[in-house]
Amino acid sequence: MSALGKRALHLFLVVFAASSVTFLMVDLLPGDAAYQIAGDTATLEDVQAIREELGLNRSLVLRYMNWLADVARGDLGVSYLTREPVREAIMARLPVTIELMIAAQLIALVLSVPAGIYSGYRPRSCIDRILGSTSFAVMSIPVFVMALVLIYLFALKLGWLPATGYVPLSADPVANIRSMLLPALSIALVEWVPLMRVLRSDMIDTLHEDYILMARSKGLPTHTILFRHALRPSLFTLVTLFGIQVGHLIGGALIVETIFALPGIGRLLIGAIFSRDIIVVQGCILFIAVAYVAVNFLVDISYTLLDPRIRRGGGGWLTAPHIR
Amino acid sequence: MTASKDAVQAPLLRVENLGVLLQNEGRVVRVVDAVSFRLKQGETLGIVGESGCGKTLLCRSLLGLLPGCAAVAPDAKAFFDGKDLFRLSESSLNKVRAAGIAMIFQDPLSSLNPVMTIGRQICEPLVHHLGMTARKARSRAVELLHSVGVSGAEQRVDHYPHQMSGGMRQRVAIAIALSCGPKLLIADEPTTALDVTVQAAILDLLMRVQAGSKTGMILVTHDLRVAATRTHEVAVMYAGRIVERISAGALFTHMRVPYTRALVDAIPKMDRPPHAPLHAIEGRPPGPAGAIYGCAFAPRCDRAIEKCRARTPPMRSDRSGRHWYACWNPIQEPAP
Repeated sequence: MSALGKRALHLFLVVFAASSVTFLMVDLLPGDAAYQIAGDTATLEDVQAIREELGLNRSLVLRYMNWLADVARGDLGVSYLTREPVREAIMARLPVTIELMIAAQLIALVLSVPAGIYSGYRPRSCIDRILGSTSFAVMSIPVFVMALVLIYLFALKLGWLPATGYVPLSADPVANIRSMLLPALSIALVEWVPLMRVLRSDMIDTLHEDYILMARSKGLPTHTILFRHALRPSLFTLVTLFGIQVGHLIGGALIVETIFALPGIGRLLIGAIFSRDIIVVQGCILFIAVAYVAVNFLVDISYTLLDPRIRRGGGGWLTAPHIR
Repeated sequence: MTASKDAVQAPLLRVENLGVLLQNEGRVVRVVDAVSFRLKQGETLGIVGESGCGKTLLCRSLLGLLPGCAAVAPDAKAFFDGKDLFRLSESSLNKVRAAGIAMIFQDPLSSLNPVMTIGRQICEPLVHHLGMTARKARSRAVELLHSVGVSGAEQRVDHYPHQMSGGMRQRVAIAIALSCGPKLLIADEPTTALDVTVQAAILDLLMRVQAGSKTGMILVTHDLRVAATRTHEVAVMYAGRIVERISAGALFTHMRVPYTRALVDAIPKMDRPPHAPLHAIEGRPPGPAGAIYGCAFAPRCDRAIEKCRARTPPMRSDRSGRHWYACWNPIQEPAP
């Protein structure tokens, strides 16, 4: 089977599994969207009428099949509560989530790559020990505590950055970046640590390779050896982990979005779960599943960019690289 | 001796009292000890010895490429081009590397960077040391590949190491080593990892290169026949020390150190009857752990006398001054 065909099948299986399980789980929760729409003062008859109207009294399997058929036609449905098309709801929140993801991962990379390279180059040095202990201390702080500490420091004490709120990029680029800095930093300060640690250990392994000795025997300066010879072969685990983190963040950084009042995918999803708005939940899950598969695909492509042996070795797209 | 004659005679490399210290679980051991030799321009010194006798560390110490746990002993000296290699800063050493002394490693499968095209790997020192432009370096890389016998060099420059055979990769490694026209080539078992059929071709290539450019060469090998036929002088190492230095032509006939004779006897010979047992040397070489009293080879030596176990034999030369050996009870007559 062609590599692309395998990918398509993989995508279909992931989406099918994720959506059917979510459908069942949301259905098992007590209450449904009809209660939410009808409100506190409604009678049982009112609720029943709304159920009739929304088709909620049909069987679970039937509703799932209907939803699948709609999705196959490219229709994600309409929210029970707001009557907003799910596709539009996701699209409206996507820029926020993507921007947060990119900003957070950029900061994480900027922190982890130089630190990882240096720690791998001089393991057990003073700086390596300091980086190691502070990074683990930082990582063991939960993200919500990190967010609150950052708000306290930068918004309340120093007054440099806004504590909450979101300004679209199109409205005011500077204000947009200011509003994104603290949320991105709260995520990045947790995520950079594992990135740094895997890069460090891969760097240590790579620097023991014969070809590094060969590069040194060529009289090349240290920075050339580190960045041109050692970094690329040391990136596999980092890229893998990076992909997993991006996958997580595309599903929305729920806690951070909530604390900083950012209208992202995570808040859309959690709101929909609380109101039993199963169509919106399903739409979000579908989106997240597709995004995960897409990110993994990109990670696999990046392996082949990193190592020519995978590119032409005949292993194909799906072969995991040889990681030492 | 006149000044001009002195300049002609001045050795390319003069190593004096080289020791390498290795830190192993808190203890410091001397894995290379009291190594001294001279190498003239255009000559080849062969270094032979069993695995683990310090050959590789000796080579790597000259280029400042010792692993983190090893260091050159403080009183060691190695004069190359008027400079003591062990007193150079890292940046001055970088100028000597590739441009002055180049190294060829044992295993071409692991000594080339797998994620860089071989062209880039050859071009790097050209651009860095000789200041060539990228385009000029590339055409020089093609020339170099051609000169080391890589066919289709124009296409090969864009290939990655994994697309080439072991012999081809060692040719590429030689091209890299030759790129900046070094005065000294250190080849650390350049053919050990290769097919037997390729070994001779690679050695021929090294000889040809050396003859053409008057480069000095240190050829590390554990094959005595290679040492005898491809070098001018052979240094036999045992347990970190050079025990005998002898001209290559006299190696098989005039050796005076029992260890050298044991090595010669261990070579399988065609004229022996089939299934005759090989002459292996009894016992094992001493590990670097224990302190050695006397000659390190004494426990395995059939000529050992009392003195051998008490005091380490110093290097001394015969009347010609070109044959050096360290033995209390040397073989007097030429070997049968």
